[in-house]
Amino acid sequence: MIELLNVSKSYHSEVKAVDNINLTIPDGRIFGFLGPNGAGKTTTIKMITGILSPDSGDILLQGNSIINNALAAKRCFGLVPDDPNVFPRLRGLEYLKFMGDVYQVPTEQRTERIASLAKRLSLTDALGEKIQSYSHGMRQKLMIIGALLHAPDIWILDEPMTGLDPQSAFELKNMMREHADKGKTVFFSTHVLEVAERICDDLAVIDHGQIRFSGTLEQMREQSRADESLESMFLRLVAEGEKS
Amino acid sequence: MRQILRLTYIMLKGNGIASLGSDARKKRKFGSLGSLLLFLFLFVYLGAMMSGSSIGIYKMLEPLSLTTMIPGLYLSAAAIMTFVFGAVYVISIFYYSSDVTRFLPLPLKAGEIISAKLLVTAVYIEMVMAMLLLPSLTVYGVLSEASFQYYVLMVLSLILMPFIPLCLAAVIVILLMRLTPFARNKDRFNTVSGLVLMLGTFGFVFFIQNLSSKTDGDLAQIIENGAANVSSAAMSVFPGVRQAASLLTSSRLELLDLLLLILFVAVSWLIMLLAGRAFYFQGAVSMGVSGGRKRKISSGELAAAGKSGNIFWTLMLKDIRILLRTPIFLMNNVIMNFIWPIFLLVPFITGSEETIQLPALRLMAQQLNYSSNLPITIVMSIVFGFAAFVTGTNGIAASCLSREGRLLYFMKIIPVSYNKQILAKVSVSVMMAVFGCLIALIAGWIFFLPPIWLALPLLLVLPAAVILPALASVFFDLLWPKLHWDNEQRAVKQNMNVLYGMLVTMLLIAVTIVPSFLLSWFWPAALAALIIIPWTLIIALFFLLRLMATRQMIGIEA
Repeated sequence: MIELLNVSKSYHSEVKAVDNINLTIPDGRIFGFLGPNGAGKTTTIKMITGILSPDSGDILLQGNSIINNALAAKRCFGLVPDDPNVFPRLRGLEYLKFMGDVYQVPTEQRTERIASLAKRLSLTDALGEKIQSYSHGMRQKLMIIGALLHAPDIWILDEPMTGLDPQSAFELKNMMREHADKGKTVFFSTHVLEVAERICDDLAVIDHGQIRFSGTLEQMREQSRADESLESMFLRLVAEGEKS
Repeated sequence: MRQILRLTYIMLKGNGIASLGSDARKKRKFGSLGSLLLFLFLFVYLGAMMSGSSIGIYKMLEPLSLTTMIPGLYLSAAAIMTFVFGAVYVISIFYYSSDVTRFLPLPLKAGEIISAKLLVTAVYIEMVMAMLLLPSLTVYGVLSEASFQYYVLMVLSLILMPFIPLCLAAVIVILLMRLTPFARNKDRFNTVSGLVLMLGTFGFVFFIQNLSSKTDGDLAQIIENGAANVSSAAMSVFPGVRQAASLLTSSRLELLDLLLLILFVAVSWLIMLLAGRAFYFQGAVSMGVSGGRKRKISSGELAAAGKSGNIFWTLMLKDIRILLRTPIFLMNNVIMNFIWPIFLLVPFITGSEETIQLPALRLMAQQLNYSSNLPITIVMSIVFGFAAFVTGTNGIAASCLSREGRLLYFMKIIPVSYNKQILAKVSVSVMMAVFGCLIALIAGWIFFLPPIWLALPLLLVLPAAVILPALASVFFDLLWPKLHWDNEQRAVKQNMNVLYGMLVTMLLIAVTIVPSFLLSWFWPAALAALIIIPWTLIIALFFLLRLMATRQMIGIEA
């Protein structure tokens, strides 16, 4: 479970990137975090993962505060960053060993998970090569394997579909569903509304640092015209936010 | 031509050369000023070495009436060096800078892009040549009482002559890069070429220095049998060298030689342009094509990755791998640990009869009276100072966060305390320095043959000598990490934290060595000072780091 409690963040004490947001993302759900560019999505993800500190409020991951009990909170999640260009001079397998050691994944589970995840994402044959020789999509797949190596309770993905081929994108969506079905949390940000519409159990729309909507897709439809697409609802929410 | 010059400027700016003074931001200017000072230091250092040697060579060749050979010898050597260095620079600037894909869609002619790249390469080459040849040829001019015309022609020759071997090197490289898989591994090439350039430059300086320390007879023989032959070969291979040499040795203006030199430059440039138009762009564009190669991993490799490892060692291993595999880091942070002993011994290896040579130094060391206190204190202090110097100058700890760049966020998401992560980085610096120091110590031991028992105090002194500078340097990067860079060079070469680390190291050396000398009347007391003082500082810094690391890391918003 992820809980954001009155979280705010400003840059240079002027621009309010995130303005007093409250969110609760229960276990066993896929949560889509939507918003236009500069809305505060990445800032929120950075605060959830401990990259940035909120100016006020708290964030709990499985009950552990990312501020006061950071190490326990960090053990709970796996992150797939929006930019997969990580440690280009390590080999794929070396990166995964690094992740396995850092998250203290037991030997027998680690070997099995690397083998099965790499096979599923068709990356087995490239693991011996340096990451710098990988294409964008291959790097993205490696980040996905690294994030899932310790079977985290919370899986956070920032724009995960970028650069993935259709088959891998399909596989990723299945993996997200399976992760949620195990009673774990999936939190992902995306620009692609079709993807959010198809796989999210819950979603939130953030704009100008404020949550415009949070709930299920059905609840969102109840608030608007029943036949409206997510795209239309999203655009209307953002437009209303700008007017207010 | 205007377009070519504008492109050249943009390319140089991209490489950081033309950015001096043009950037309004203070911080950047400060970093650029550091680079400029470093360049000036190198210029003055090499220039002084070359001038000294050139005076020696001139004085020895004067009684043999062979002084007129000097410009020819220097220019031949310069042509050979330009050819070798030029090939390396051409690969780097024409192929690795990866800007060609940005220039191709612009309304530019192929010849303009190629010419601009050639000019950028020439600027780098001319800088190296100016460092090596300008002092030597100026010394020749002064000693031979040359006229003003000589100096004008000297500058003209130095500007024009390198274009000929450079164009030849460019043509060969362009053909090789288009038709063979030559130099496709960028990292390996950068490492090897970096070493070749460094050893080549210093090899040239040592060779000239060595010549100046020979006796007249030996020198005449070397020049007549060796150097003259090489020079003659270089003049045959690189047209223009003979003409440039003739311009500098003739008392009147040889107009025909000057015209021929200009003609050779123009023809070389033209040939290079033709080769570039035919073969360059296809070769350069294919460099940027990615798409992972495939090498199946064995079950053994998979099992090895599956084995749980110690977290601290895992963090260290990640940094070590990145240091060893990133050419810039390898050259600036790793090799420096091993190369200092050679640099420090150079004056003794190439020393002339008036200065101390290596055998004399060895004799002096062997004649030291190890039963008295002062020599032991001196040796212990030298080892302490050397080990601390090596650690402080390797810059590993002082750039440990800067090297992460935008990937610093990774340190923030993994469930490992910041303190442990930073100590792992400090340990990498210590480990590299220990390897470098141990190799130097063993080599020194074999050479100077001190008594065996002296190893014990030296080994007692060593740990603190390497830990203290590393631990002290890391604070600078913790306070002012340089995370926004577009190439690794900026993280280590243009990082003031490395300079601060060096300066604080010097201070720590002084703080430790001075009290040990005050106690040199009883060497065990001096030894105690060399151990207790640094370890006290280490403990204090360790606790300070524990207090600061988490707070600082949280505050860094990467």
